[in-house]
Amino acid sequence: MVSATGHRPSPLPWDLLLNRGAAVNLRGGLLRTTLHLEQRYTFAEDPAASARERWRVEIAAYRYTLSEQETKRELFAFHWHPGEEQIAMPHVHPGSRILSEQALAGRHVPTGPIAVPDLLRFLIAELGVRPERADWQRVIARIGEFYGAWQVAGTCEAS
Amino acid sequence: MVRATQPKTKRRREPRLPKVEFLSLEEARALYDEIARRELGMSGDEFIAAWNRGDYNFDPDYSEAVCQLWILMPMGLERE
Repeated sequence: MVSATGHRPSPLPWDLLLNRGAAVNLRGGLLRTTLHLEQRYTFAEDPAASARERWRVEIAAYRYTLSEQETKRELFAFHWHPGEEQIAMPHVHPGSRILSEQALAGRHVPTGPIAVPDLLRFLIAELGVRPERADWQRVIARIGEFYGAWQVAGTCEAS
Repeated sequence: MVRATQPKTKRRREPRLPKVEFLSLEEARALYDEIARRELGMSGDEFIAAWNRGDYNFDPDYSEAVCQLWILMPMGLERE
């Protein structure tokens, strides 16, 4: 279940979260894993655009964390949380579970912005997680159409 | 007379996307509080106060729980 907190412009951003913030057990795959998924978003207006395309969703931050089901230890944590005193670039934290060198734990490995369709494709195609729908590729492609060009320096835009 | 018929073009239906539940402001605040208590053993307001005090060095990477509560912090804030 996907929950969201707002569908109108606001000075404060809104939030989107999976399973009300609790871990979701993923089926199948190379490892038995769970997923946390949260995004922060805003609405941006383009006064010059047509009425149909005047408003777009902008992703302002995200956290996607893949962990082991049994031990709860993190495998990958994809983060993007720009701010004044924070790491501005999208990045991934390799979890201690998969690192042989403990000194690398907690490091910020740069990535491009990770959209939810990218994450889902990684989980299913690379890690073998079993999708609930046979038409998952079409669903992901359809969701991906809503994402426009991503801007790392400012915000990630989803048109 | 033989009438040739064209097979009906199958219209490709767009896949049904998952539904989204929209939470009210009160529901969002209550859920934020629930998540804060589950993850860090404190209320949502207590986490926001601790964050603003600098207890976590203003770093969402302090821990996964802190990162989650930082991203979801708008849920716990008062809105006009």
